[in-house]
Amino acid sequence: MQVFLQTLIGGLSLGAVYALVAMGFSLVYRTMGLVNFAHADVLMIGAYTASTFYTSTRLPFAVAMVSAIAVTGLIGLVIERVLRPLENKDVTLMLIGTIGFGMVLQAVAILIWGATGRAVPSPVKAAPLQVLGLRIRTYDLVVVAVAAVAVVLLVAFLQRTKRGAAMQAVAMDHEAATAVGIHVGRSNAIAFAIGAGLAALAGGLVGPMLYVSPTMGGTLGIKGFAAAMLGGCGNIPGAVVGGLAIGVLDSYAAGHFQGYSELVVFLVFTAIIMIRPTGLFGETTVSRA
Amino acid sequence: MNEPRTVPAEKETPPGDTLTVEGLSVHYGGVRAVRSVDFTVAPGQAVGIIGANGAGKTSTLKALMGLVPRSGRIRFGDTDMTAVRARDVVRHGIGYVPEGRHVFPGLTVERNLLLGAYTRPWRSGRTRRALGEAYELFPVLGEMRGRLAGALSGGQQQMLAVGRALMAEPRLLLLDEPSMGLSPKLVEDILAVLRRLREEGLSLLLVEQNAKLTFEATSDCLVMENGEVVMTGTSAELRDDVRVRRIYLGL
Repeated sequence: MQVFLQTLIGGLSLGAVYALVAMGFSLVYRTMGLVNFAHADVLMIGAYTASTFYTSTRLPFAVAMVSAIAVTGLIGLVIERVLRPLENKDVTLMLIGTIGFGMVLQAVAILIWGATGRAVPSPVKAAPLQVLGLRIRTYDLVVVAVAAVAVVLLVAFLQRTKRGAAMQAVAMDHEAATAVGIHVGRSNAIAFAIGAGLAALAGGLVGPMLYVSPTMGGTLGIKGFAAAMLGGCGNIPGAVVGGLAIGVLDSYAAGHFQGYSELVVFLVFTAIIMIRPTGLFGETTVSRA
Repeated sequence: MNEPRTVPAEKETPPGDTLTVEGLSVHYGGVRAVRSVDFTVAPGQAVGIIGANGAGKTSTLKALMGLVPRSGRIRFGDTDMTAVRARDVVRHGIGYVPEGRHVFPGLTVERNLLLGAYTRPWRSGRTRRALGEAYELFPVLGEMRGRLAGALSGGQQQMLAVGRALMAEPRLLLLDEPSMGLSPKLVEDILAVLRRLREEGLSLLLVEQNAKLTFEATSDCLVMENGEVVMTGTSAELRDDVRVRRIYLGL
């Protein structure tokens, strides 16, 4: 029981990171009907930017994170602006465009920060908490709390604000949205910027947990994408549940299968997706194909 | 070009602008869906366009909205609408009820209506008043304000699509097949709503396959075939035309 709970807790913080990545994928997908394959590399840029601000300028971690979110938000805007002429014309070309952007970002990261990668010291120095015999790292709590706040803010933005409603309208019917006066391109740009900001948040948070390198986006991106699919692509609450599920699954698999853990995670994922192809909370949020 | 004013002289002419369409054409690749169509809609006038599937009716409305590439002249009042982007058309006082309703299915009825007033502040008294009027015109929408639009029946979605377009307080309303897929009872309801909107001075451009409804709701009509206007006249004249009766009314 003790081991079971300890593993669960260990999985939740990484799961929270996957949830942030998945939310970024889902937000862009539900708004534009596009899977942003540059997302993982935006995350990597976010991780580098946050760690650079944090370690070399000695800014507080929170300020470094906000700076990283601003930088990647701009990258998101640039990506959307470059791809905009293809919007509603050719989703396949846009998709390939995002893959291209991902490669460019990796190359830029290698030019700026080198190919080797770096370790980031944990911004929280406090000793692990002991609760009911369980050992909880304080930084894990910070990660989960920050992710939870991000989820609440994103859902509130989509549900409560006019801009959020407009973005959802664009996702559901871009022609009807245009007819009521919504600027579809701007809505897409905001989705891309928020998606990129979420990636930076995930990257910045995961830096001290893993290792920051130009290729770090690979695993995180694919697991975040799997989380988005598992929750039902385009569904924000689904992305959160999917992220936590993949994180916990990851944690158990690592404990029981060591080297084969990734294989086990994706086998389970594949099995679930074969049973429920629309994901756990599958819905048809996107009418564009 | 003469502008047929149907508003009786003793009644004050409602404020509004004339829609003037000259030589409007729509191309999809090599296919010409609409070929050099001319017509006008005067303030307070209700004009219908009837025709079979594929006659170019929907393309004509989409061209007016700037949703498809077009050529020709479109003026609304003093504005050259060909220079106006699709998302800005509503700001010039033209509302659009698309074919197949196209409500936002995953949003509530009230959110759908509010999005109709996207170009205005939502907290303004004007928007609140427009919302009240929409619920007054369609009481069923008021009862369902918290429901997701996708859960409404076809008729309710049609009401919602009309209500959404009215939220922007347009001077001209473009309606694309509002009777599509509705029961005769609901078609009657739509007709009653269109009549009431006319009484309030709104200009209407109604595109329909249902010629009977169109003749009852409008004063003047165009008949389109293969992208061209083949007949024009008052709705009363066309209703009695032998050819129209045979082809469009099945009499």
